[in-house]
Amino acid sequence: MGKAINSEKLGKMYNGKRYRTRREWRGLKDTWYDYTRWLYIWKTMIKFMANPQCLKGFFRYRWMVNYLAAPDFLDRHTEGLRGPQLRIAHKEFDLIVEHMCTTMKTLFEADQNIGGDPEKSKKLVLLDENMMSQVMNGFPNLTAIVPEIPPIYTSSTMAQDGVIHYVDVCEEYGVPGDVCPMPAGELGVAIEDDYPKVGICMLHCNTTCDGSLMGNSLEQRRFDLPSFGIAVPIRYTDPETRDYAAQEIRNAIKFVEDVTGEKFDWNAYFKNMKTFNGETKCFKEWLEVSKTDYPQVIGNNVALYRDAYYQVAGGRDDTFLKNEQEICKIMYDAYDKKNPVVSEVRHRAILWGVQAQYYSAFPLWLQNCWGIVPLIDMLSLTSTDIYSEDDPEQAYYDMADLYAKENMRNRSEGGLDVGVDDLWRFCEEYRADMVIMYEHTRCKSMTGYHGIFDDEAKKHGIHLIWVPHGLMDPRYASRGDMRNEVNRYMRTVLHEEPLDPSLEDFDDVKAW
Amino acid sequence: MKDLKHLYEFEKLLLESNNDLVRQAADRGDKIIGINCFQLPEAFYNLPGITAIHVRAPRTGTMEMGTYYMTSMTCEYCRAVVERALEGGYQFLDAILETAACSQVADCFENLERLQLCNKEGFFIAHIDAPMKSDENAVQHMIRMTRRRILDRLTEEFGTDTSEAALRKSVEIHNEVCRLISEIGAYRAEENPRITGYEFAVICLVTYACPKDLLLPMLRETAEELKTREPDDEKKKKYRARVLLVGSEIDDADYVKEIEEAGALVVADRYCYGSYPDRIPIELNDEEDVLTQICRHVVKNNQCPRYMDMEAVKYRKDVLDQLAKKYHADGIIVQQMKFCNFWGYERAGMQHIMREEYGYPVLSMDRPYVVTSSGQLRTRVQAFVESIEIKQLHQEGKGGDD
Amino acid sequence: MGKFIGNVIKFIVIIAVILFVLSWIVYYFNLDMKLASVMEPIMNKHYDRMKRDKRL
Repeated sequence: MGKAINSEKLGKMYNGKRYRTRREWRGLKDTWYDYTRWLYIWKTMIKFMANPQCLKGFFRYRWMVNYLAAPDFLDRHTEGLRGPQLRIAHKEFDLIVEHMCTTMKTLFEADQNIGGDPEKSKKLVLLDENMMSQVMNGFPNLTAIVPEIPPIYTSSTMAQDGVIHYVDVCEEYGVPGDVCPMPAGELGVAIEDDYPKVGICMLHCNTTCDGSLMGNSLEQRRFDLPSFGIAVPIRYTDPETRDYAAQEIRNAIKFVEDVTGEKFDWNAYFKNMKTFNGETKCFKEWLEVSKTDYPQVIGNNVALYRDAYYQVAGGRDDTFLKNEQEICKIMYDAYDKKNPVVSEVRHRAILWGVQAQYYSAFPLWLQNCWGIVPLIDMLSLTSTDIYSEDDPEQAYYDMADLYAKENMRNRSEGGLDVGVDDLWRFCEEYRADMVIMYEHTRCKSMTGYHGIFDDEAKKHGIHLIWVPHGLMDPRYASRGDMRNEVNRYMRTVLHEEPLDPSLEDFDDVKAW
Repeated sequence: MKDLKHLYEFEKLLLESNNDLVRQAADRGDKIIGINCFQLPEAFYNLPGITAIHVRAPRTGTMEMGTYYMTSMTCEYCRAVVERALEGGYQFLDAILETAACSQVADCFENLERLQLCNKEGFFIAHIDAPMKSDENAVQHMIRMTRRRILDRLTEEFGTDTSEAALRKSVEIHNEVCRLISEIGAYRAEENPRITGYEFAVICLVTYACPKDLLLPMLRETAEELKTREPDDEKKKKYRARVLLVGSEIDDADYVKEIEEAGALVVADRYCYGSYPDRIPIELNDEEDVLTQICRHVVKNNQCPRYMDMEAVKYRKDVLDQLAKKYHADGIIVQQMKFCNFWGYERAGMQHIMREEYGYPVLSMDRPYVVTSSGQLRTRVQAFVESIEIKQLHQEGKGGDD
Repeated sequence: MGKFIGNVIKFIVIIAVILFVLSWIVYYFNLDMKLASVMEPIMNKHYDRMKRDKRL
């Protein structure tokens, strides 16, 4: 117990129950800091629940119960962290919690299922969970909202079993059990009438995958709103697809204009894109530092947060930019001091494939248990281009490019060049000797590359560790199963000993 | 019924991808191209010096190597194609044109490409991004992609004439095949059809597996033969219900045979590699260029679940309703190849929508790529047939007390 | 007056210290999550009892 990384045996806090025995002692300074952030999170949550509409929402929607675990979610995503990494994590995850509270408040205040304000509802444009939101950057009087995020996407990270009820509902409806649990869960929410009833219209999209596209077309029946599907090319790296993609964006904007009576405001769009570009610049700085011997913003501190600002906020919320600038400052200070992110760097790793949503804290476990430094993950390696801030015609192409490069489909669609070959390029760039290969067993997009990955990893001399998982359904591979794949490789192939032996095997099957 | 003269020959042609007619085409100097989807307009591939066949893997056995490369959680069609390619079964192809109809198909052909499994001199794989909606933007996209990635490529690689006149001629051949298939298929609407669903499935499927010009004489003869073919009097006893068969790709007519042996006559179809919409003739006008007309035909008639606009989603169900009415189907069987994302959802939706909103009895099933005699399939079809019969009895007021 | 203000400050400090100690205990021993784990099944029973319009 102390301020040094790995000074506490973290596995001992798991007792086979829903909760951990106690919180971590990180030394006086870091524990005090963590305590104050804990107070802040409870303040945010109490303020949220004090709103009568939010309280009604809590009693109306099953998925809301997952958010009771928000403080545990933060504990999981800061586990073992000290100093700058702890502060960076809190900057990111606290903002995510705040942002979620705002999103849900907006939903519940407009929700017709619980007597919300119809006028507020008319200002909401619904977006599909896995689509970029930049098309809404030019509608400052409308609010883009993703109704699937609170019930499914975030619920699954809050509680590992948080969405399996809805996956089961979808299977009972007749959808095969082999499809991805994310669109299945989303459809399950629709079947069970558990979406807030809001919105004036809906934009949906074929990102991320075929299952998501198909789930959307069935969900539309429940939303029962005027809708427009943005078709994003599968072979998006082919330049011949660009005109088509840009025209889809034009048509989507026209659809929103026609339904809402609002006019697309280019000034607002470019202002937001300026924010978005600022965020991209910060992100690129993080990446550059991660290529050095002293990476600072890594693993969890990139993955979920990148999803939030790149895709969901999309430049419309400059709080994210300010946050990132502060993170940059912490990062550079830590870099100058050669701050270590783990007690001993054993391996530099790239995380590839789609991460397990029910174990989004897995990269932290890699750090704490085995000294594997998760430098960057596939879902975060999306577009780092700087987009136009003044040319409307170019902007259509920019938006189309961003839609094609949405987090979850950027590398799972588009061919071997972006899905496989880029991995080896990144390994070289980041001097990684290991790839943690998430294998989402029910994802039909990347599993088709399985053999090619294996063959080519050997050629490149990279340690490739397959980690199968079920994305949002831990019944397919538990968190423990995921860890065991790494444990097995580390023991039998690399003959290494864990940095924290208590983390090698512990019982968190019932944990949030 | 008297056996159809060419049925055995057709069945034989389906047993191999590189069958006798394909070899004949290659011998006369044709370039043999593998294609995989309705969205790569078949009407192109009767251009001079070109023969196109759909990529299939008939007589697939085990798929260990395909499974190693693509895992056991992907569609068996894709795994079977990778397996066949690893075995060297597509070495006769000069090119493959692939549309990323779904992610798994895209991965499948990327495996072929990366592993260099087709080594004929000059072999190439062209990847075509197909649209996902039925609007005008989709038509324009289809025109761009097919012009640049198919027609121009054929000219560059093989010197193929893709002029307006050549395309018109190619469409004519395609249309003749389509008209013959439509004519043959129309007999299925008869009260006592003179052709079985299995026979029709074989005849239809063979048009995907052979050079069309070489197949046409046998098709013409079969159409002629059917004009005077007498149906079996006993048929009504043998088949207890008429069904519309819907769903993902079926490239083995034995699946239809299995259904029919369980008592359901397949009187209409709406599955990939079937007759609808692929065998609807393209009616050309003189006002617009041929390429545009072909692409518009493909986009507007598309029945693929990947078409995501709500008009297309609704249209797919309306088409089933129209087909069921036209062919007097008593029920609908929706099948999907296991692990197919598109049809997994579409099947679930159709099962409810066609039953609850259109009033049809619906049987929903998944299946493997390799058709084997399946007790489960038979039991399910038999139970379905019985449920249709009970429903009919109820409607006729003979339902008894229950 | 000064004594009154002194008492108020003392009172505030005592309350603050009590709150701090209590919250620290809740924080360190993870009592908030222990309570949440008790609430969860109760809430799930409530959701199970709700009538649902299950369809698409």
